[in-house]
Amino acid sequence: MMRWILINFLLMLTPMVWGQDAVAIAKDIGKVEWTKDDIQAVFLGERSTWPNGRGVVVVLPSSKSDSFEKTAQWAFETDGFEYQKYWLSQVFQGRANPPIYLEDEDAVMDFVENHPGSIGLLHQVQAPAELRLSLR
Amino acid sequence: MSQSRFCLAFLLLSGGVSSNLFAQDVPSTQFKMFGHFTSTIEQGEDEQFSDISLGEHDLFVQSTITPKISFLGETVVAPLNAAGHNASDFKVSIERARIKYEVREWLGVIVGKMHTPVNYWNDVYHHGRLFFPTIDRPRSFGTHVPIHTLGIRLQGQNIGRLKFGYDLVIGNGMSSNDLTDGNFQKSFTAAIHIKPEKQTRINLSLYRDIIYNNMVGAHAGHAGSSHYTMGDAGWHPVNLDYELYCFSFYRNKGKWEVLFEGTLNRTGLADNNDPDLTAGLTTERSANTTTYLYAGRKVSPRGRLYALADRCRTQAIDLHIKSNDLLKVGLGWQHEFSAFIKTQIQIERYTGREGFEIPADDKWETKFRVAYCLQ
Repeated sequence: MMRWILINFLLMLTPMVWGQDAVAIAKDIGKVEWTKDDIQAVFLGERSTWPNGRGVVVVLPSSKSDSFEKTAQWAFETDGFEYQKYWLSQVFQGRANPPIYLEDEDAVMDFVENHPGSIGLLHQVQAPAELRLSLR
Repeated sequence: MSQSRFCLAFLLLSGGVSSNLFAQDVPSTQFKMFGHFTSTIEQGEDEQFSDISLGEHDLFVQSTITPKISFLGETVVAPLNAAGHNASDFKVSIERARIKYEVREWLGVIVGKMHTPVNYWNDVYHHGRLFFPTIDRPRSFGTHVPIHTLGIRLQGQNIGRLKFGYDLVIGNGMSSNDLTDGNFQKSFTAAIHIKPEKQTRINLSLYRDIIYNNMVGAHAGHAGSSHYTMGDAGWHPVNLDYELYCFSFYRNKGKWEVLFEGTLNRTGLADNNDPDLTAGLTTERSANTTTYLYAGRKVSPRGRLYALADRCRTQAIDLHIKSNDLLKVGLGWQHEFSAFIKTQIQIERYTGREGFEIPADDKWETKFRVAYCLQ
Protein backbone atom coordinates (compact mmCIF):
# COMPACT_ATOMS: atom_id res chain seq x y z
CA MET A 1 0.00 0.00 0.00
CA MET A 2 2.75 2.40 1.01
CA ARG A 3 4.62 1.56 -2.17
CA TRP A 4 1.53 2.33 -4.27
CA ILE A 5 1.11 5.71 -2.53
CA LEU A 6 4.79 6.49 -3.04
CA ILE A 7 4.66 5.65 -6.77
CA ASN A 8 1.59 7.84 -7.26
CA PHE A 9 3.20 10.65 -5.34
CA LEU A 10 6.29 10.45 -7.55
CA LEU A 11 4.14 10.45 -10.68
CA MET A 12 2.37 13.58 -9.45
CA LEU A 13 5.72 15.24 -9.01
CA THR A 14 6.83 14.54 -12.59
CA PRO A 15 5.68 17.89 -14.10
CA MET A 16 7.33 19.75 -11.28
CA VAL A 17 10.54 17.86 -11.83
CA TRP A 18 10.38 18.86 -15.48
CA GLY A 19 9.85 22.43 -14.34
CA GLN A 20 13.08 22.26 -12.37
CA ASP A 21 15.03 20.73 -15.23
CA ALA A 22 14.02 23.18 -17.90
CA VAL A 23 12.18 26.40 -17.22
CA ALA A 24 10.82 28.57 -20.00
CA ILE A 25 10.98 32.27 -19.26
CA ALA A 26 9.30 35.27 -20.85
CA LYS A 27 8.04 38.69 -19.83
CA ASP A 28 4.87 40.71 -20.45
CA ILE A 29 3.29 38.33 -22.92
CA GLY A 30 -0.21 38.27 -21.47
CA LYS A 31 -2.08 35.17 -20.43
CA VAL A 32 -0.38 32.06 -21.76
CA GLU A 33 -1.71 28.56 -21.26
CA TRP A 34 0.77 26.52 -23.19
CA THR A 35 1.71 22.91 -22.89
CA LYS A 36 5.22 21.52 -23.03
CA ASP A 37 4.57 20.67 -26.71
CA ASP A 38 3.71 24.31 -27.43
CA ILE A 39 6.96 25.50 -25.89
CA GLN A 40 8.92 22.81 -27.70
CA ALA A 41 7.32 24.07 -30.92
CA VAL A 42 8.60 27.57 -30.15
CA PHE A 43 12.13 26.21 -29.72
CA LEU A 44 11.80 24.49 -33.10
CA GLY A 45 10.69 27.69 -34.83
CA GLU A 46 7.27 26.18 -35.46
CA ARG A 47 5.33 28.56 -33.27
CA SER A 48 6.11 32.17 -33.92
CA THR A 49 3.45 34.18 -32.09
CA TRP A 50 2.25 34.47 -28.52
CA PRO A 51 -1.47 33.99 -27.82
CA ASN A 52 -1.81 37.80 -27.74
CA GLY A 53 -0.56 37.97 -31.32
CA ARG A 54 2.86 39.37 -30.52
CA GLY A 55 5.81 37.80 -32.30
CA VAL A 56 8.04 35.41 -30.36
CA VAL A 57 11.80 35.96 -30.32
CA VAL A 58 13.71 32.81 -29.39
CA VAL A 59 16.85 33.31 -27.33
CA LEU A 60 19.37 30.49 -27.06
CA PRO A 61 22.66 30.09 -25.23
CA SER A 62 25.82 29.69 -27.27
CA SER A 63 26.07 26.45 -29.23
CA LYS A 64 29.29 25.76 -27.31
CA SER A 65 27.51 25.69 -23.97
CA ASP A 66 26.14 22.69 -22.05
CA SER A 67 22.86 24.50 -21.85
CA PHE A 68 22.52 24.50 -25.65
CA GLU A 69 23.05 20.75 -25.64
CA LYS A 70 20.34 20.36 -23.01
CA THR A 71 17.94 22.57 -24.97
CA ALA A 72 18.59 20.44 -28.04
CA GLN A 73 17.78 17.29 -26.12
CA TRP A 74 14.69 18.85 -24.63
CA ALA A 75 13.23 20.48 -27.73
CA PHE A 76 14.54 18.35 -30.57
CA GLU A 77 15.35 15.07 -28.84
CA THR A 78 18.79 15.03 -30.41
CA ASP A 79 22.20 16.54 -29.84
CA GLY A 80 23.34 20.12 -30.18
CA PHE A 81 25.03 19.44 -33.52
CA GLU A 82 21.77 18.34 -35.15
CA TYR A 83 19.86 21.15 -33.45
CA GLN A 84 22.30 23.73 -34.79
CA LYS A 85 21.92 22.31 -38.31
CA TYR A 86 18.17 22.30 -37.92
CA TRP A 87 18.04 25.99 -37.07
CA LEU A 88 20.42 26.89 -39.87
CA SER A 89 18.15 25.08 -42.31
CA GLN A 90 14.94 26.61 -40.96
CA VAL A 91 16.36 30.10 -41.35
CA PHE A 92 17.71 29.33 -44.82
CA GLN A 93 14.28 28.12 -45.90
CA GLY A 94 12.75 31.32 -44.62
CA ARG A 95 10.32 29.36 -42.49
CA ALA A 96 11.54 30.74 -39.16
CA ASN A 97 13.30 33.80 -37.86
CA PRO A 98 16.75 33.03 -36.49
CA PRO A 99 17.17 32.71 -32.74
CA ILE A 100 19.36 35.12 -30.87
CA TYR A 101 22.46 33.40 -29.55
CA LEU A 102 23.89 34.72 -26.30
CA GLU A 103 26.85 33.59 -24.27
CA ASP A 104 25.17 31.70 -21.45
CA GLU A 105 21.98 31.33 -19.45
CA ASP A 106 22.64 34.45 -17.39
CA ALA A 107 22.76 36.45 -20.61
CA VAL A 108 19.59 34.74 -21.83
CA MET A 109 17.75 35.67 -18.63
CA ASP A 110 19.02 39.21 -18.77
CA PHE A 111 17.88 39.55 -22.39
CA VAL A 112 14.41 38.12 -21.71
CA GLU A 113 13.97 40.41 -18.74
CA ASN A 114 14.68 43.42 -20.92
CA HIS A 115 12.88 42.33 -24.10
CA PRO A 116 9.20 41.55 -23.71
CA GLY A 117 8.12 39.01 -26.30
CA SER A 118 11.34 37.02 -26.17
CA ILE A 119 11.56 33.53 -24.72
CA GLY A 120 14.43 31.61 -23.18
CA LEU A 121 14.92 28.19 -21.64
CA LEU A 122 16.92 27.75 -18.46
CA HIS A 123 18.41 24.50 -17.23
CA GLN A 124 21.03 25.65 -14.75
CA VAL A 125 20.25 29.18 -13.67
CA GLN A 126 17.40 29.75 -11.24
CA ALA A 127 14.65 31.78 -12.89
CA PRO A 128 12.76 34.48 -10.97
CA ALA A 129 9.13 33.51 -10.41
CA GLU A 130 7.80 36.49 -12.40
CA LEU A 131 9.57 35.31 -15.56
CA ARG A 132 8.58 31.65 -15.36
CA LEU A 133 6.05 30.36 -17.82
CA SER A 134 3.66 27.98 -16.15
CA LEU A 135 2.53 24.98 -18.12
CA ARG A 136 -1.01 23.90 -18.77
CA MET B 1 38.97 47.31 -56.86
CA SER B 2 36.31 49.98 -56.32
CA GLN B 3 33.66 47.27 -56.27
CA SER B 4 35.53 45.42 -53.53
CA ARG B 5 35.79 48.60 -51.49
CA PHE B 6 32.09 49.22 -51.99
CA CYS B 7 31.23 45.69 -50.83
CA LEU B 8 33.49 46.01 -47.79
CA ALA B 9 31.96 49.35 -46.89
CA PHE B 10 28.48 47.89 -47.34
CA LEU B 11 29.22 44.95 -45.08
CA LEU B 12 30.77 47.13 -42.40
CA LEU B 13 27.88 49.55 -42.59
CA SER B 14 25.39 46.71 -42.40
CA GLY B 15 27.18 45.27 -39.41
CA GLY B 16 26.97 48.64 -37.74
CA VAL B 17 23.27 48.96 -38.41
CA SER B 18 22.75 45.46 -37.10
CA SER B 19 24.53 46.18 -33.85
CA ASN B 20 22.57 49.37 -33.29
CA LEU B 21 19.27 47.65 -33.78
CA PHE B 22 20.37 44.87 -31.45
CA ALA B 23 21.06 47.35 -28.73
CA GLN B 24 17.73 49.13 -29.26
CA ASP B 25 15.26 46.35 -29.44
CA VAL B 26 15.03 43.25 -31.53
CA PRO B 27 18.16 42.00 -33.19
CA SER B 28 18.07 42.23 -36.84
CA THR B 29 20.33 41.46 -39.71
CA GLN B 30 22.44 38.36 -40.21
CA PHE B 31 24.77 37.69 -43.09
CA LYS B 32 25.91 34.26 -44.10
CA MET B 33 27.79 33.01 -47.09
CA PHE B 34 27.21 29.58 -48.55
CA GLY B 35 29.77 28.26 -50.96
CA HIS B 36 31.28 25.11 -52.41
CA PHE B 37 34.07 23.63 -54.49
CA THR B 38 33.42 20.58 -56.60
CA SER B 39 35.68 18.23 -58.47
CA THR B 40 34.54 15.76 -61.14
CA ILE B 41 36.22 12.89 -62.90
CA GLU B 42 34.26 11.60 -65.86
CA GLN B 43 34.85 8.30 -67.62
CA GLY B 44 32.91 7.94 -70.87
CA GLU B 45 33.05 5.24 -73.51
CA ASP B 46 35.85 6.90 -75.44
CA GLU B 47 36.94 9.85 -73.37
CA GLN B 48 37.86 10.98 -69.91
CA PHE B 49 38.11 14.32 -68.29
CA SER B 50 38.46 15.87 -64.88
CA ASP B 51 37.97 19.30 -63.41
CA ILE B 52 37.90 21.27 -60.22
CA SER B 53 35.26 23.94 -60.25
CA LEU B 54 34.50 26.98 -58.19
CA GLY B 55 30.86 26.71 -57.24
CA GLU B 56 28.15 29.23 -56.57
CA HIS B 57 28.89 31.59 -53.72
CA ASP B 58 25.72 32.71 -52.08
CA LEU B 59 25.48 35.82 -49.89
CA PHE B 60 22.51 35.12 -47.66
CA VAL B 61 20.84 37.93 -45.74
CA GLN B 62 18.13 37.52 -43.16
CA SER B 63 16.73 40.47 -41.31
CA THR B 64 14.12 40.39 -38.60
CA ILE B 65 12.84 43.90 -39.11
CA THR B 66 10.21 43.42 -36.43
CA PRO B 67 9.32 40.08 -34.79
CA LYS B 68 6.56 39.74 -37.40
CA ILE B 69 8.18 41.30 -40.46
CA SER B 70 11.31 39.81 -41.95
CA PHE B 71 13.42 40.10 -45.07
CA LEU B 72 15.31 37.28 -46.73
CA GLY B 73 17.69 37.70 -49.62
CA GLU B 74 20.17 35.61 -51.55
CA THR B 75 22.64 37.00 -54.04
CA VAL B 76 24.58 34.36 -55.91
CA VAL B 77 27.90 34.87 -57.65
CA ALA B 78 28.76 32.01 -59.96
CA PRO B 79 31.55 31.48 -62.48
CA LEU B 80 30.61 31.46 -66.14
CA ASN B 81 31.56 28.52 -68.23
CA ALA B 82 33.61 30.62 -70.62
CA ALA B 83 36.88 30.03 -72.41
CA GLY B 84 39.90 32.21 -73.10
CA HIS B 85 39.89 35.79 -71.93
CA ASN B 86 36.43 35.43 -70.36
CA ALA B 87 37.42 32.44 -68.30
CA SER B 88 37.39 34.44 -65.10
CA ASP B 89 33.99 35.99 -65.70
CA PHE B 90 31.20 35.66 -63.18
CA LYS B 91 27.49 36.20 -63.20
CA VAL B 92 25.66 37.81 -60.31
CA SER B 93 22.06 37.00 -59.68
CA ILE B 94 19.56 38.00 -57.02
CA GLU B 95 18.00 34.63 -56.36
CA ARG B 96 15.70 35.57 -53.52
CA ALA B 97 14.52 38.92 -52.17
CA ARG B 98 11.34 38.66 -50.19
CA ILE B 99 9.56 40.35 -47.34
CA LYS B 100 7.33 38.33 -45.06
CA TYR B 101 4.63 39.55 -42.75
CA GLU B 102 3.57 36.83 -40.36
CA VAL B 103 0.09 37.45 -39.01
CA ARG B 104 -0.08 34.13 -37.20
CA GLU B 105 1.33 30.65 -37.81
CA TRP B 106 -1.66 29.97 -40.05
CA LEU B 107 -1.20 33.07 -42.19
CA GLY B 108 1.90 34.74 -43.48
CA VAL B 109 2.09 37.03 -46.49
CA ILE B 110 5.27 37.00 -48.58
CA VAL B 111 6.05 39.30 -51.48
CA GLY B 112 9.10 39.34 -53.71
CA LYS B 113 11.30 36.88 -55.53
CA MET B 114 11.18 33.42 -54.04
CA HIS B 115 11.81 29.76 -54.71
CA THR B 116 8.63 28.09 -55.89
CA PRO B 117 7.55 25.83 -53.02
CA VAL B 118 6.63 23.01 -55.39
CA ASN B 119 8.76 20.32 -53.84
CA TYR B 120 10.96 19.65 -50.86
CA TRP B 121 14.24 20.19 -52.68
CA ASN B 122 13.33 23.57 -54.09
CA ASP B 123 11.77 24.77 -50.87
CA VAL B 124 14.42 23.53 -48.46
CA TYR B 125 17.78 23.28 -50.24
CA HIS B 126 17.95 25.18 -53.54
CA HIS B 127 21.34 26.98 -53.38
CA GLY B 128 22.29 25.60 -49.98
CA ARG B 129 24.84 22.98 -51.00
CA LEU B 130 25.65 22.53 -47.33
CA PHE B 131 22.21 20.97 -46.92
CA PHE B 132 22.19 18.87 -50.11
CA PRO B 133 21.96 15.15 -49.29
CA THR B 134 23.58 14.30 -52.64
CA ILE B 135 26.08 16.32 -54.64
CA ASP B 136 23.77 16.97 -57.59
CA ARG B 137 20.26 18.26 -57.59
CA PRO B 138 17.56 15.95 -58.90
CA ARG B 139 17.22 16.04 -62.68
CA SER B 140 13.74 17.53 -62.35
CA PHE B 141 15.41 20.69 -61.04
CA GLY B 142 16.87 21.51 -64.43
CA THR B 143 14.05 20.20 -66.56
CA HIS B 144 10.55 20.23 -65.12
CA VAL B 145 10.55 22.26 -61.93
CA PRO B 146 10.12 26.05 -62.29
CA ILE B 147 12.58 27.19 -59.67
CA HIS B 148 11.70 30.85 -59.06
CA THR B 149 8.85 33.23 -59.21
CA LEU B 150 8.26 36.87 -58.40
CA GLY B 151 4.92 37.34 -56.79
CA ILE B 152 2.76 37.11 -53.72
CA ARG B 153 2.49 34.08 -51.48
CA LEU B 154 0.19 33.15 -48.67
CA GLN B 155 1.74 30.73 -46.25
CA GLY B 156 0.52 28.85 -43.21
CA GLN B 157 2.50 26.29 -41.30
CA ASN B 158 2.51 24.03 -38.27
CA ILE B 159 -1.27 24.03 -37.99
CA GLY B 160 -2.85 21.41 -35.77
CA ARG B 161 -1.48 18.09 -34.63
CA LEU B 162 -0.20 17.07 -38.06
CA LYS B 163 1.55 20.42 -38.46
CA PHE B 164 -0.25 21.11 -41.68
CA GLY B 165 1.18 23.78 -43.93
CA TYR B 166 0.16 25.45 -47.14
CA ASP B 167 1.69 27.78 -49.70
CA LEU B 168 -0.38 29.56 -52.34
CA VAL B 169 1.58 31.62 -54.83
CA ILE B 170 0.52 33.86 -57.68
CA GLY B 171 3.51 35.13 -59.56
CA ASN B 172 5.24 35.85 -62.79
CA GLY B 173 5.41 32.84 -65.04
CA MET B 174 8.16 30.83 -66.61
CA SER B 175 8.48 33.19 -69.57
CA SER B 176 9.25 36.15 -67.32
CA ASN B 177 12.44 37.69 -66.04
CA ASP B 178 13.15 39.76 -62.94
CA LEU B 179 11.79 42.94 -64.53
CA THR B 180 8.72 41.93 -66.44
CA ASP B 181 6.33 39.14 -67.24
CA GLY B 182 5.09 40.75 -70.44
CA ASN B 183 1.55 39.44 -70.10
CA PHE B 184 -1.48 39.49 -67.82
CA GLN B 185 -1.60 35.79 -67.08
CA LYS B 186 0.24 34.61 -63.94
CA SER B 187 1.59 31.31 -62.71
CA PHE B 188 -0.18 29.62 -59.85
CA THR B 189 1.25 27.31 -57.20
CA ALA B 190 -0.70 25.46 -54.54
CA ALA B 191 1.34 23.34 -52.16
CA ILE B 192 0.38 21.56 -48.97
CA HIS B 193 2.42 19.55 -46.53
CA ILE B 194 2.16 17.81 -43.21
CA LYS B 195 4.83 17.06 -40.62
CA PRO B 196 3.47 14.13 -38.65
CA GLU B 197 6.73 13.75 -36.71
CA LYS B 198 9.88 15.72 -36.10
CA GLN B 199 12.07 15.69 -39.20
CA THR B 200 9.34 14.20 -41.38
CA ARG B 201 7.54 16.10 -44.12
CA ILE B 202 5.13 14.99 -46.81
CA ASN B 203 4.49 17.48 -49.58
CA LEU B 204 1.98 17.69 -52.46
CA SER B 205 1.76 20.49 -54.96
CA LEU B 206 0.27 21.75 -58.19
CA TYR B 207 1.86 24.37 -60.44
CA ARG B 208 0.23 25.83 -63.54
CA ASP B 209 1.44 28.37 -66.06
CA ILE B 210 1.24 29.40 -69.70
CA ILE B 211 4.62 29.43 -71.42
CA TYR B 212 4.47 32.13 -74.08
CA ASN B 213 5.97 31.43 -77.48
CA ASN B 214 7.57 28.34 -75.99
CA MET B 215 10.31 30.53 -74.52
CA VAL B 216 11.32 30.48 -70.90
CA GLY B 217 13.18 33.04 -68.86
CA ALA B 218 15.43 32.86 -65.85
CA HIS B 219 12.67 31.82 -63.47
CA ALA B 220 12.06 28.52 -65.21
CA GLY B 221 15.59 27.36 -64.52
CA HIS B 222 15.30 24.86 -67.30
CA ALA B 223 18.68 23.79 -68.51
CA GLY B 224 19.31 25.00 -72.03
CA SER B 225 20.16 21.63 -73.45
CA SER B 226 17.04 19.93 -72.19
CA HIS B 227 14.32 22.12 -73.66
CA TYR B 228 13.63 23.38 -77.16
CA THR B 229 14.96 26.81 -77.99
CA MET B 230 14.75 28.97 -81.07
CA GLY B 231 16.75 27.36 -83.86
CA ASP B 232 16.02 23.79 -82.79
CA ALA B 233 14.22 21.72 -85.41
CA GLY B 234 11.56 20.73 -82.90
CA TRP B 235 10.92 24.26 -81.62
CA HIS B 236 7.48 25.75 -82.25
CA PRO B 237 6.70 29.31 -81.14
CA VAL B 238 3.38 28.39 -79.58
CA ASN B 239 1.84 29.09 -76.20
CA LEU B 240 1.90 26.06 -73.94
CA ASP B 241 -0.27 25.11 -71.04
CA TYR B 242 2.14 23.76 -68.41
CA GLU B 243 0.99 21.71 -65.46
CA LEU B 244 3.22 20.19 -62.81
CA TYR B 245 2.24 17.93 -59.95
CA CYS B 246 4.84 17.10 -57.29
CA PHE B 247 5.05 14.72 -54.38
CA SER B 248 7.85 14.77 -51.81
CA PHE B 249 8.57 12.65 -48.81
CA TYR B 250 11.37 13.44 -46.38
CA ARG B 251 12.22 11.64 -43.16
CA ASN B 252 15.24 11.78 -40.91
CA LYS B 253 14.73 9.41 -38.03
CA GLY B 254 17.35 7.53 -36.08
CA LYS B 255 20.19 6.51 -38.35
CA TRP B 256 18.20 6.79 -41.58
CA GLU B 257 17.50 9.77 -43.79
CA VAL B 258 15.28 9.38 -46.85
CA LEU B 259 14.10 11.79 -49.52
CA PHE B 260 11.79 10.94 -52.39
CA GLU B 261 10.82 13.47 -55.04
CA GLY B 262 8.33 12.63 -57.77
CA THR B 263 6.94 14.89 -60.48
CA LEU B 264 4.33 14.52 -63.18
CA ASN B 265 4.38 17.20 -65.84
CA ARG B 266 1.69 17.59 -68.49
CA THR B 267 2.25 20.05 -71.30
CA GLY B 268 -0.09 20.79 -74.19
CA LEU B 269 -1.14 23.57 -76.50
CA ALA B 270 -2.77 26.52 -74.76
CA ASP B 271 -6.16 27.78 -75.90
CA ASN B 272 -4.91 31.17 -77.07
CA ASN B 273 -2.71 30.06 -79.98
CA ASP B 274 -2.82 31.31 -83.57
CA PRO B 275 -4.30 28.33 -85.50
CA ASP B 276 -1.68 28.83 -88.23
CA LEU B 277 1.08 28.12 -85.73
CA THR B 278 -0.50 24.98 -84.35
CA ALA B 279 -1.34 23.35 -87.67
CA GLY B 280 0.04 19.84 -87.68
CA LEU B 281 0.89 19.85 -83.97
CA THR B 282 -0.60 17.32 -81.62
CA THR B 283 -3.37 18.44 -79.32
CA GLU B 284 -2.52 15.66 -76.92
CA ARG B 285 -0.90 16.52 -73.60
CA SER B 286 2.37 14.92 -72.67
CA ALA B 287 2.80 13.05 -69.38
CA ASN B 288 6.40 13.29 -68.23
CA THR B 289 7.73 11.95 -64.98
CA THR B 290 10.79 12.33 -62.82
CA THR B 291 11.65 10.33 -59.72
CA TYR B 292 14.51 10.88 -57.33
CA LEU B 293 15.29 8.71 -54.34
CA TYR B 294 17.97 9.24 -51.74
CA ALA B 295 18.56 7.02 -48.72
CA GLY B 296 21.39 7.60 -46.29
CA ARG B 297 22.47 5.82 -43.14
CA LYS B 298 24.61 7.26 -40.37
CA VAL B 299 27.66 5.12 -39.84
CA SER B 300 29.35 7.44 -37.35
CA PRO B 301 28.25 10.58 -35.49
CA ARG B 302 29.35 12.74 -38.43
CA GLY B 303 29.52 10.26 -41.33
CA ARG B 304 26.80 8.97 -43.60
CA LEU B 305 26.76 6.42 -46.40
CA TYR B 306 24.11 6.95 -49.02
CA ALA B 307 22.63 5.75 -52.28
CA LEU B 308 20.66 7.61 -54.91
CA ALA B 309 18.58 6.91 -57.99
CA ASP B 310 17.31 9.61 -60.31
CA ARG B 311 15.18 8.95 -63.38
CA CYS B 312 13.73 11.38 -65.90
CA ARG B 313 11.29 10.44 -68.66
CA THR B 314 9.92 12.91 -71.18
CA GLN B 315 7.61 11.82 -73.96
CA ALA B 316 8.28 12.47 -77.62
CA ILE B 317 5.03 14.46 -78.01
CA ASP B 318 6.20 17.09 -75.54
CA LEU B 319 6.55 20.48 -77.21
CA HIS B 320 8.71 22.10 -74.54
CA ILE B 321 11.21 19.56 -73.22
CA LYS B 322 13.20 17.29 -75.50
CA SER B 323 12.24 13.66 -75.17
CA ASN B 324 14.48 11.49 -73.00
CA ASP B 325 14.64 8.50 -70.75
CA LEU B 326 17.64 8.93 -68.46
CA LEU B 327 18.75 7.19 -65.33
CA LYS B 328 21.42 7.95 -62.81
CA VAL B 329 22.33 5.78 -59.84
CA GLY B 330 25.05 6.40 -57.34
CA LEU B 331 26.70 5.70 -54.03
CA GLY B 332 28.24 8.27 -51.78
CA TRP B 333 29.66 9.15 -48.43
CA GLN B 334 29.49 12.39 -46.52
CA HIS B 335 31.37 13.67 -43.54
CA GLU B 336 30.35 16.71 -41.53
CA PHE B 337 33.24 18.45 -39.81
CA SER B 338 30.80 20.80 -38.12
CA ALA B 339 27.32 22.17 -38.76
CA PHE B 340 29.00 24.61 -41.18
CA ILE B 341 31.27 22.49 -43.34
CA LYS B 342 30.99 19.08 -44.91
CA THR B 343 32.49 16.96 -47.65
CA GLN B 344 30.87 14.46 -49.96
CA ILE B 345 32.24 11.94 -52.39
CA GLN B 346 29.97 10.22 -54.86
CA ILE B 347 30.33 7.60 -57.59
CA GLU B 348 27.63 7.76 -60.25
CA ARG B 349 26.58 5.67 -63.19
CA TYR B 350 24.73 7.51 -65.94
CA THR B 351 22.68 5.50 -68.38
CA GLY B 352 19.36 5.60 -70.20
CA ARG B 353 17.36 4.36 -73.13
CA GLU B 354 18.12 5.16 -76.75
CA GLY B 355 15.52 6.33 -79.24
CA PHE B 356 14.86 9.75 -77.75
CA GLU B 357 15.92 13.22 -78.75
CA ILE B 358 18.37 13.46 -75.86
CA PRO B 359 20.75 10.53 -76.32
CA ALA B 360 21.16 8.03 -73.53
CA ASP B 361 24.07 8.65 -71.22
CA ASP B 362 26.75 6.04 -70.88
CA LYS B 363 29.35 7.19 -68.42
CA TRP B 364 30.71 7.00 -64.91
CA GLU B 365 31.42 10.01 -62.76
CA THR B 366 33.21 10.47 -59.49
CA LYS B 367 32.54 13.72 -57.70
CA PHE B 368 33.99 15.32 -54.64
CA ARG B 369 32.62 18.39 -52.92
CA VAL B 370 33.37 20.67 -50.02
CA ALA B 371 30.39 22.81 -49.02
CA TYR B 372 30.43 25.40 -46.28
CA CYS B 373 28.68 28.27 -44.62
CA LEU B 374 30.44 31.30 -43.18
CA GLN B 375 28.84 33.62 -40.68
